[in-house]
Amino acid sequence: MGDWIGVYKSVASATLRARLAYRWNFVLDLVFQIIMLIAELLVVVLIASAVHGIAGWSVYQIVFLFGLSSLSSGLYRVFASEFHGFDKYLVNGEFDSVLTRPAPALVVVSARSVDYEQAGMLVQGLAIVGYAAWRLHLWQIDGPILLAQILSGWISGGAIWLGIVIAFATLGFWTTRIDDLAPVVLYGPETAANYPLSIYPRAIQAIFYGILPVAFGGYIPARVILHKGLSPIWLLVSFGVGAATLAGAVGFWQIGVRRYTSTGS
Amino acid sequence: MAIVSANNVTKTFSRPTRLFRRGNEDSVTAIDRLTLTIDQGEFLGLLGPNGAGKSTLIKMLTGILHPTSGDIQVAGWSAQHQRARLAMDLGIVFGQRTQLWWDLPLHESFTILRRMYRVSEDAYRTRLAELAALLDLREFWNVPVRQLSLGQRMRGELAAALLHAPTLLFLDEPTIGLDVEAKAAVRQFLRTLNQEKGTTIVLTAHDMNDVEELCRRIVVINHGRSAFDGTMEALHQRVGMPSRLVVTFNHSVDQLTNLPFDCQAYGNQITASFNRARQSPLAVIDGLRQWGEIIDIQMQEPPLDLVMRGLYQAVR
Repeated sequence: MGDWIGVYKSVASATLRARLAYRWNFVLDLVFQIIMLIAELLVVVLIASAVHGIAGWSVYQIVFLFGLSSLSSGLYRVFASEFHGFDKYLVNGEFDSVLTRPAPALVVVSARSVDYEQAGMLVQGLAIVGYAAWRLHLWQIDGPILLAQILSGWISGGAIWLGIVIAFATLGFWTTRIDDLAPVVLYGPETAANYPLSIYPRAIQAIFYGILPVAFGGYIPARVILHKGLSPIWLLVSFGVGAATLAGAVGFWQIGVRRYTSTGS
Repeated sequence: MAIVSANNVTKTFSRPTRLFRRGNEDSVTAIDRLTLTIDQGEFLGLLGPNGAGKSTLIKMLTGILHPTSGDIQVAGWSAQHQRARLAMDLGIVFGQRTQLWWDLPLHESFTILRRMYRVSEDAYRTRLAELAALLDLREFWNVPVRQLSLGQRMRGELAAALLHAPTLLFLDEPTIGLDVEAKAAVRQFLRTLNQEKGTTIVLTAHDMNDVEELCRRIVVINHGRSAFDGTMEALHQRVGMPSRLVVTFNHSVDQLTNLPFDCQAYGNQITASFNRARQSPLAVIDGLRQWGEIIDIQMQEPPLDLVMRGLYQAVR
């Protein structure tokens, strides 16, 4: 029931209008954010060029992976920013107001705000992916296919990160305070996913394949796109993992909400 | 016709005593076999000390919490099973929290809510024009919510809660932190809404004046049960009206005795505490006059705490 995409769209456009009212402020925010990300990218590039590539990945291949990874996690940071830092809803009881709306709680929370300040991540991710693809002469192969592959990797990654961040927020229904865990569950894996996962010990790889399946949101699609020993079928697998992660997270969220309505804490 | 009917409702919370140890839980009964019926068009005040179960009850009536046992029907819907549908018929204002979009200009919140509550374009326009006029919204229409004063924000909250023409309005501390003028404006608005539109209103407040001026029926919740249910007059008969009179004499006075009310002397001042429901202030002054010449008299508004304390003692 209901036109939830319309609701979300009106929040997104109203927020954009409000942000653009202070145009220069907004532009500066974006610029600062891009500078931060470039610094982060430089670290990756420096490490990679010092050792002439990592785990058989050339510098530009790693740059490509970095770009794809920031595109993936950038989606949740812009469009689902409320789940990030969700414990404020539980600590000061704001979640009560969410439940008084005629819409599923997931929709109401998502539509609370859109964080355009984080959009730098998407702008920069697109630029990096494009640049790396050009330096790697990927365009010469087949433009439309390449584009479709990148898009598919991006969507899978976006779904995976969205799922992770929703599931993470849901933990708050049991523990209330979750922000302290964010470096372990969100930021750490986010940074780790910028590198080829084969450099990590097996146990950590297992986590990135099984528990927080970020491997399918950057590393695996990148291996397919860069022809590093995986057939295109793995793009479909990644897509499946993305869908499953998101669906699982939404199910978990509903259990969390049910717990909230019976305990109120 | 009943718009709210809560039948034998109980809500218990379990409080885990220690991490990883189950079974051994303390349970707290917040609402204890409560039955409450509210008719359409009523203006009801819900009172109770902190921790009495008042907010648990409100949360159950609005579908936020589910009762442990018992059944709640609100506006024809089951509060437990049809929360999202029920939300369409409810307007809710929690005075201490905003339901508006903090970073957006006020009017943008209305646009979003219009979509969320699926109000038709025509109905939206008439309704908003009416609310904007009644609540004087136009002057801060374009201001981001976070920059509004408390009084302006509360007017915005009320408009936002009423945009979809709910049949039932829940207000939790709607005048908290407002100045006298803003309080009066909000009260006047609520009175009009209830009398002219027939909107049923349930109000919880610490401000006894809100309740006294607005509510025709009072329900006092204490220890999770309804401890009083009746008119304001009936409540006054039960609790009285604790009042204070400060009288200044032209000479210093000692502790007075043999008066039918309580007196505290300090220098040449006497503070008399009495129950206005049983004694008139004039009688108190008459009683004091025999002790000397009075040069000044001040009536102090009964401290709210005192009224509330008297009330909860009386209904225990």
